[in-house]
Amino acid sequence: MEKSTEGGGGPVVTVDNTADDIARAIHSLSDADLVRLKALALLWTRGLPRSLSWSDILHEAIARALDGSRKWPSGVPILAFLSGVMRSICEDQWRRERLEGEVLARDVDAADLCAAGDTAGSAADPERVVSAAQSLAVVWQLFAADPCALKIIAGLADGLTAAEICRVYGMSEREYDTTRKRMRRALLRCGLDWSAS
Amino acid sequence: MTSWHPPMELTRLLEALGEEIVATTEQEVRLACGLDGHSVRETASEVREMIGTLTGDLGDPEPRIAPISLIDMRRAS
Repeated sequence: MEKSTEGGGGPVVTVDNTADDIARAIHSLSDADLVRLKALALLWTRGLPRSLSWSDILHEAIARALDGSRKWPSGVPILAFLSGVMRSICEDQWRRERLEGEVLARDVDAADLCAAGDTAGSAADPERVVSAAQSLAVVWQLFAADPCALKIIAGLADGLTAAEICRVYGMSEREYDTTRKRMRRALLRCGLDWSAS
Repeated sequence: MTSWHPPMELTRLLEALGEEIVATTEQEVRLACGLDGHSVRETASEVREMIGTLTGDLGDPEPRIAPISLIDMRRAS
């Protein structure tokens, strides 16, 4: 089945979808969609534990979508869906890193590997904390010349809504929207040159 | 003083910035990449080629290569 409409994030499937639907949706992406897809992959590369490239994570995301290990919910734009898959890949990679570290440290057998998985997310992972702090610094650096953007970045990192950011930092709605547009352009224009940072 | 949790902050930030990228209009993409559209086409071509190795041409019963985990391959090497 397939019933697609054009949405802000590329084609949107409105009924249950299959791997074939996903392949068709990806094939139908416009040039601009593909630029956005690369920007998303570059973005999420910042969340990975190692120096994997944007093409690695995008490749993995599409592979997971096509093999059915990740379902494409109806009504979700394909780009938003793939961004979510990439987010999931980042989490999986960190979980795996942590498990491997624990296994190496304890020299345990396969049974212990399963047990370790139960506690994988329970404590802070020092390596991940350092990596995340470095990535946050890179994002801040990207917008270092734009004080308004830095306020929005700080608010987003704290999980604030747009209204809350405006209230906390004394920004007008117009100022917020204008700044967001600058941020979008920066994210796309730099292709997040930060991939090499 | 509140505790700082960089992984959580980074994930929230990447999610929010990802939503911004998804919401970007075609015009904004072209403005960001240059008005001539050259870099848009170049980038699109690069991504399309990479995707093509996974999905093959539409109508093909099988992709050109199996959609296996490239990350796992990298890690194994």
